[in-house]
Amino acid sequence: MVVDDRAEALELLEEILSLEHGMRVVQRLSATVDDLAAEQPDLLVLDLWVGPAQRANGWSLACAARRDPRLRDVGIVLTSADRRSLDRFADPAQRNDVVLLSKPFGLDDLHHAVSSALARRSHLSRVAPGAPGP
Amino acid sequence: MAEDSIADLVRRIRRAALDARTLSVTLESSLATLHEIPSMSGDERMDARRRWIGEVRADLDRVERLSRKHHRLVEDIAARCGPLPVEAKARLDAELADADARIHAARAHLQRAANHG
Repeated sequence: MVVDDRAEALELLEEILSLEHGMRVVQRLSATVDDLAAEQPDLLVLDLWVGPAQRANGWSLACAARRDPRLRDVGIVLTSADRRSLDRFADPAQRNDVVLLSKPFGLDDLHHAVSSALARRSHLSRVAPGAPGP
Repeated sequence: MAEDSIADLVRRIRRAALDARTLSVTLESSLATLHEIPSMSGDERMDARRRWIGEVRADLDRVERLSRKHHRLVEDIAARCGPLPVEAKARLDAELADADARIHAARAHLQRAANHG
């Protein structure tokens, strides 16, 4: 599932994830954690700043997903051009198994981030299968 | 053998085209949100813009070199395996033309972004 407030970015990510990773992609301009849970995605690609308020919605959504037992082992990639904020999120992202990807990026950067997020997902599934949320 | 080579080459050509589009779209997205990033001074925004344009230019140079290699590979396949079947040749030419167009569009977009700065 891809959440970004720019339509062209959504289309591009859908093309890449379906072609390169064989994924069925669901696009959202914005989303709640219930929207995410309804889709039961393997992977979330979130933009850090989404919506008219431009708050750190992507990060909030990533944290909410990690707390939600329905989504806690989903792979998460968080993208942003705001490298300063990404740097600020580096430690909590690592603790929460969220892969950070700074924009602008190329195909290999995205491929690496997606593979890394999916690998962490497999790890999380093995470590805590069906574990309840905090 | 030639069919495998052609299928692999088509995949590589498409990947280069997609790489160029990815760089262009994510640069556009980055520049569009630059003024919305909080706690960034005017000088920092200009530095970020300059840095991103430099990074994307270097990546597009790499994609262009790769694309030129693909053009040469199409010629090599024909030289090694004899004239390509009409359908395969048309397919490869179409993929190369699409990749060239995407790379050209990405380059033009980059230039416009650089001029705006």
